[in-house]
Amino acid sequence: MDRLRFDLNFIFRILLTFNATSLLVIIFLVQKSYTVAYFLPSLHWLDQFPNAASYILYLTIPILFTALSLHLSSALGRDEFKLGQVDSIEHANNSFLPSYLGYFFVALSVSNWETLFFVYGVLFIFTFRSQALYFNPLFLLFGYEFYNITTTSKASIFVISREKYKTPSDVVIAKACRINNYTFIERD
Amino acid sequence: MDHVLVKVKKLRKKPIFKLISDHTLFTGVDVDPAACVPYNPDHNLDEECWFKVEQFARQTYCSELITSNLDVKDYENLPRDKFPDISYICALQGDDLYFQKVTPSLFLSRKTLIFGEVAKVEEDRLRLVVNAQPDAVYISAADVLVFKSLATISSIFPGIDELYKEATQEEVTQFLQEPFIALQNDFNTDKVSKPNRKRIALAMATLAALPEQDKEGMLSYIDGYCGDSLKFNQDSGMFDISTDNELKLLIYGIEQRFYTTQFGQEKRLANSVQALG
Repeated sequence: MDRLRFDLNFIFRILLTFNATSLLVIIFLVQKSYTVAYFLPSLHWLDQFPNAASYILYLTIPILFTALSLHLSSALGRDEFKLGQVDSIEHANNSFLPSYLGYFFVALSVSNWETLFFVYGVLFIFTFRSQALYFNPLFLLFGYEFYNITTTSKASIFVISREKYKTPSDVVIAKACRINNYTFIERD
Repeated sequence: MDHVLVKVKKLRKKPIFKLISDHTLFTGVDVDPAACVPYNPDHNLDEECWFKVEQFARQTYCSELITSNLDVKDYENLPRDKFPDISYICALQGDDLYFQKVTPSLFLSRKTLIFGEVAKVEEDRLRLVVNAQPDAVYISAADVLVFKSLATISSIFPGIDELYKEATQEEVTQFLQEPFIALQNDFNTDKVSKPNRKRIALAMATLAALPEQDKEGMLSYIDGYCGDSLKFNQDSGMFDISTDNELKLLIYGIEQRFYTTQFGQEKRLANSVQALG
């Protein structure tokens, strides 16, 4: 009974996993030229739209979900960063690139729906179980930056924030929401 | 921002977790460390008073939560299944740390009615009751730990019970062999109660510090106050001890707990004392 109860953190992690992995499905659809018209053949008026319109529509889904997850994140548990608690800071906006290139190549070589479901399922589970849910470049669209931070007690944590931090002493955050034990997102 | 950390039982590695942040659990305890009583097992605490241990961070039984430079981000969120295993709560409020021991009786799992806009029934969710007052408070500015009961906090600060002094069987036997004690009616070591064992531990130190020439004066002082309740044998210079209560009076005498009021000349007994100045 207890397990079924509403657990915001669990839903939030599912949402983040979906956002981070959805690009694989989109690239598959684009590569196969599966437009909206392909899925809804009975609606003939859809044929007049260019393929690009469908692709943009696909892309808006994870963007909307990312906006939703950002909105939900303010309900997560709070933490704070006080002056002097940060030992070093490293800008990590580029760190999503290697894993995303991986998604691209995998998606391009997926040949049919069966393979897609299997590959996506495996990827989803591993992304969900790993602590890498935050590797979602869509956050960049919302003006967020990624930082690798080492605290004075030598704990390495990942911080997502709209602020532009350069030096460890810049990092003073009154309200940081804890996505998981290694990932924090700064909220206004 | 205030944080609440918890210690979990049965975990050897990393037993401390973060429970919640941005919530103030306890109403602030405003104690002046100077007005607190240094811990003494025989002291009867006034209701508003607290015991204190000074220079707490330097004591061997101090918690790592106090000695380490506490950064809540270093602690993981408490997993749901560990909730019933909480052994104590540590609330970081301002610069001070508030501790509450968690006993099984503090966990409630009952159907409850909650009144909000309309009344709502909560099924048997597990709840942990937060006491109105913490069991111990560490005041970091003064480096002082204040508490009410040593027995309660001894599981939070393992080793702190070294402050608790109770005479061992040998020490009690040794005390009862003092030249001014004559045991009567088969009174022996086994019949000495627990509170008296605590008092004996302290009285032995007082006796050891008492100059030899004052010992006789001490006996007549005790005799002068106790009169009929404690029989003094002038010839042998011994008190007849046949009950635990007589032993208590004798120990009170050794600790000079008897006094006469300056105005009114009433004879009194102080069952708890505090050194002034």
